[in-house]
Amino acid sequence: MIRRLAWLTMAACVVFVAIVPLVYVIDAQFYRETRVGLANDRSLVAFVDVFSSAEYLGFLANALVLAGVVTVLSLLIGVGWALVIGRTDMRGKRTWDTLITLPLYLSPFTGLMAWIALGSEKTGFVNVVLMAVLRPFVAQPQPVFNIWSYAGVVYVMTLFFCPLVYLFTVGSLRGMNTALEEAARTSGASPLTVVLKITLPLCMPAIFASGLLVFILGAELYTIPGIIGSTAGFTTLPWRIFQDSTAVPVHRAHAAAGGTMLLLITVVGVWLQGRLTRVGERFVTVGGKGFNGRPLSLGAWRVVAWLALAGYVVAADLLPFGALLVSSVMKYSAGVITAEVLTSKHYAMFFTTQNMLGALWNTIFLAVLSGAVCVVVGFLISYSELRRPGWATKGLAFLAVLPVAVPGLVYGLGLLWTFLRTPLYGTVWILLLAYVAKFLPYGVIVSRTGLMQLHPELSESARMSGASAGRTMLSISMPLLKPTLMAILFFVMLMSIKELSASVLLYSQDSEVLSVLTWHYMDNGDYQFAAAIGFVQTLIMMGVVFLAQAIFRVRLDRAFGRETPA
Amino acid sequence: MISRVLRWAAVAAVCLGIVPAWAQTDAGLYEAAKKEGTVVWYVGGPLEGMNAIAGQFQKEFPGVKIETMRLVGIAQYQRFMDETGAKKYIADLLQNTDYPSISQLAEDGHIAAWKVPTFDRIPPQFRLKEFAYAQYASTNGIVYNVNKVTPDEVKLLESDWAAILDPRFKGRFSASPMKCGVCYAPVHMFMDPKFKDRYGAAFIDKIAAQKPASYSEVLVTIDRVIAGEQDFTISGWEAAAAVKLLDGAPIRWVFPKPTPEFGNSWLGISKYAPHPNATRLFMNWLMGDAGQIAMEKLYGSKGTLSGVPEQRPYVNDAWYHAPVEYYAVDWKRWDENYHKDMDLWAAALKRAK
Amino acid sequence: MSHVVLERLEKSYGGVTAVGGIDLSIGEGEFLVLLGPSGCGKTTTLRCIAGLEEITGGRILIDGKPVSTATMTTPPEQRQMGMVFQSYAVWPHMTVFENIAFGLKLQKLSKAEISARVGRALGLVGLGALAGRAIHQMSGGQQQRVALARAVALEPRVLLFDEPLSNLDAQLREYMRFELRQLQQRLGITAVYVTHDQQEAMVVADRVALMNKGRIEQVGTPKQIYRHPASLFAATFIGLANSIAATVVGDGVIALADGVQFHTEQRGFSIGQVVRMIVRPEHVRLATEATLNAYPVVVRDSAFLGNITDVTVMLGATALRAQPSPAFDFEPGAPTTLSIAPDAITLIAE
Repeated sequence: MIRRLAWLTMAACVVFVAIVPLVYVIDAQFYRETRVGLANDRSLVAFVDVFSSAEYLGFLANALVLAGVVTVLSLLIGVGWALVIGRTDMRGKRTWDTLITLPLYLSPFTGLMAWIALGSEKTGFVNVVLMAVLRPFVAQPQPVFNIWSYAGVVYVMTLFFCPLVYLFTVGSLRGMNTALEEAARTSGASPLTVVLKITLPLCMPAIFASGLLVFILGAELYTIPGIIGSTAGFTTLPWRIFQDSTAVPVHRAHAAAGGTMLLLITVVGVWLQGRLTRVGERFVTVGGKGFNGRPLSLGAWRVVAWLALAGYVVAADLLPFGALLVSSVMKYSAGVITAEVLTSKHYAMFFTTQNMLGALWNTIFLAVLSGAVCVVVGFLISYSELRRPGWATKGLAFLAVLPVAVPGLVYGLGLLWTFLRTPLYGTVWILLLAYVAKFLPYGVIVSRTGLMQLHPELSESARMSGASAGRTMLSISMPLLKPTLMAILFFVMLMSIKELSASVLLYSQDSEVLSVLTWHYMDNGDYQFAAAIGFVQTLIMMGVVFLAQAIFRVRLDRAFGRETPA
Repeated sequence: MISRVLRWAAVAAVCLGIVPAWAQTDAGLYEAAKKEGTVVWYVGGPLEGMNAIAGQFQKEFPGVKIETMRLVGIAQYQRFMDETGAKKYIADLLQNTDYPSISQLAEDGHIAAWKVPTFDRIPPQFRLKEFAYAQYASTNGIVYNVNKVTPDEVKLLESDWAAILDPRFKGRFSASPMKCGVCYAPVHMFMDPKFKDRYGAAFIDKIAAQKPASYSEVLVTIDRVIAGEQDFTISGWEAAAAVKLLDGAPIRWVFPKPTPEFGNSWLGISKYAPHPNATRLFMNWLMGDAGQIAMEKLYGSKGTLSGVPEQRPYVNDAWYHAPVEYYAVDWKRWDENYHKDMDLWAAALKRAK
Repeated sequence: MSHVVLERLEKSYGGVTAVGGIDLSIGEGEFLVLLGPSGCGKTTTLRCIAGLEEITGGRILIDGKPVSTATMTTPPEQRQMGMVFQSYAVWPHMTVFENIAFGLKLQKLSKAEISARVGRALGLVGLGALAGRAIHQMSGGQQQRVALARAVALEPRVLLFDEPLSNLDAQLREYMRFELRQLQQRLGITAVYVTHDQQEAMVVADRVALMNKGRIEQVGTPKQIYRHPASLFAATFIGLANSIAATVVGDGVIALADGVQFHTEQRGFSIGQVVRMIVRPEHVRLATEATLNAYPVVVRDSAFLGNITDVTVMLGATALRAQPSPAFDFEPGAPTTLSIAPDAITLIAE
């Protein structure tokens, strides 16, 4: 009874925080637009325009195609790394693990600035260096790389999303029962066949979930495709939504309708994931038999894997972070670095900027709290959905996922309208609600894949040992899913620290956060200072994540009674 | 220090009965302002510059704290209206870069009328009745990289906007299709009916034929000129370029004839301001000599108050030529055609690829 | 020791009936096996007894107290039952000791008591020295013993087994059957055991409840069911059986389709009634001197299996399987004779 009541309370909170704003968003498209917002009278103009005009459908198609291409590439690379790290005898896994996930610490805009500095046709560092190298051999070397192109967008976005795929698949690969692979090996399958026919199919829920998330995030992202796309000559729906909602005259209803369109994409994606859930039994990889971690031997392939990983690290970490570091000590953008363009003032500025400390504190506070809430509530929602399937639990899991694809610009407004009349407005708590609503879907989707790979008998046996449902969840399911839960915590914390588009709509003078503060400077065109901030922000994120994980891990261990055996 | 002088001056003035006009109004205001203690300023301009200006005010008027909250353009309008609708009165002073937004607010009665003491020294195009005043002006120009454009070419560009159609500039410059005030100002001028024959849509087509690179973010346009990726940009304006120049970037700018200039940061006092006196005090200061000087010194844009000594450091450099022929925007046509004109402009830039 | 009673137990999932109203009483200390093909509802029944499933009709009583009704379910953790799962369901993030101690800790027993009971349970399953081991260091058989020890350590009122041996290899499975039975006998705990393996059922069970399509076909000792199957399903599911269509032609006399007559000891059928004649292969005697129920037949196939020979003979158009022991050699095509003792024939009404 108490359990049901607690569940109902949680469900009510989730619906209120996540769904009421969505209702506002959906509703907003049915108003007449004025040049500064929405009129009071209803109109179908925006709805019809967005959902039926070739223009908007074209933008949608562009976004979907781009997201599709990026998803496929990210999956190939991300799952590849997850296999190498999670399944083989590659050495130095801990280091590689950090290096592979490092790009997550960059916000898309900061990363883009780094790549503009690196990959611009005439002045990009990469081109300048390559042309200098080529000059003795080629009469007139042409720029090798041009970030201001479709390929450039795909490249930058793929580098951004690989770590996400990796993060959400490596856990399930690590936890996999090797007996399944060994059985295949003893039936005469080659290691490659085992990976393709056994390992990867068993990992399908995790792979599908991370693919879904990348696709949705890729379809929702406006910065990278927007800024490069307008130069390269293509427009995606999120960029149009950004323009519709920020440039005068605004097209608020159009933006809302565009947001609804992206919402529908999520619905389809989640429905597909649900189809997978239904055949969930097939994917149980953490059975009750216990796993042993004997990895596949790479043999001579180790060199190949090492080289591939090293190449990736250069492309995804060394170049952008290097460019960021270089930019941050430059007075202004330049393709060639000379002594006279160097300065350390941006780092000094970081510490003298007004409100920086307050913003920093708010950011850390929000990141830790939203991370913890998304892990716990996301897990609870998936847990009740999978272990007690019914219309209520399934419905909640479905609803909680919906905000994922609605651009923060549109969703933030819905949140603002929802909480405007509450005392939460103007406080830091509204930002917390925004982050929870926006990132809870990751908690739900990713913990669902984890749970799907867990044999139900593992928790049933705890019930038979006298543990209540809650106790079972705490002592059995959550500890078994620890890698997955930690990945969610890590990811949500980073997303919270980087979140901008909704924060900018919801922050107030008393609740500033780092991302908004830095955006104010970036918006002013001071990209060098922005680079310094981006760099410091990365360091802060690493510190926060490290600390929170350490604390959370200890807590998890203590709470779940991992005493040493007598 | 200044504040102490001011306070003594106020006291002395009251005793002696000979009071300068500014002190008469401000002394009473200041006392009332101190009781309120705070001004919440919704800022549309660059935060760093505005914070510096607010800091200067706080030095001169201790006890009155300026809390800046950056909300840009239409977002500020909407946030203010949402809050007003919910009777959450937070903002005291609005600074909005979008003139139509502020005029809409004034028209709908959300802005309190306030005649600043320096009212008569503000040129009419920089004020909106007694409701709003432009804190500074934006002047459009061509921003170029000194290493990429020859002195002859600079001279050519300075002569007239039509100079960018010269064959030698083909593929060397950039423009931004971004929808923002400074981005629109030149387009607004090109599309002015009185320039139908000189510029007009045909001129925009010819610009497109020059194959300019386009960047959706107007400040990236300037950044790419600084880096040397593009030789110059036609979507530049003085304040943005000046910041970079002062950092040592290899750029300068010219003002082709005619030069669009318009009020770009409209200050208006909320009718529901929780701190009305402090806000009026701050407004008076911002639009007075001290505030305008502080703005030019700390932010570097061109002030709107006439009769203020020049503060911008680069103005005295040999290369700097002040605009010869100004073009004043027509706010009514601006409001009506903004979207249409910018769509035309963006489409032309897209065709250029 | 407890007794378990199922009264008209029903379980359906959204219109699909898994268990269709079964009655069953399991006595104190009894080892009852729920036997049946997959999908017959046996596992569902067991899970209902465990409290892992809510029931949709009827009642489950333990020691006379209802624990499950259509509207009320005592949660599994309050039923004091132990369960051994098909997948073992040992927790890979805990050591052997922690696995077994988990439930004891929840009972807030003292450290010493827990230690003692874990030690005792491990001793019972023969893993005394392995308390500190991590689960992944253990073989499947050892993990299964851990699961068993975990269930036993709680000193439950009822022990439930859900196909506990199906994941083990054949040899170990056979060995574990006896061990399980022995353990249950030693502890005297009431046990309910689900399996689809009739041999396993016959080894461990005091009584077998044979299930089919959500219903109980027959309850009885293995011997009773084997000897006197109540249905064709029971006859064919437990052990091999020849099942031949026949018609009752007289008191204790039936005739096959081609008129061949057999005498039986079963009575109570009306003349002309269509029945099935059930005969176990080992009761089909070949090359005998007997005269009652004896007919000449022709050997069709023959396979030498060591202790027996598996022979199929043709009695006219009817094929009959025989398993004579000790094994003789039969040449396919060779004529021989067949006889069936009247008390070896079971008749089941069609």
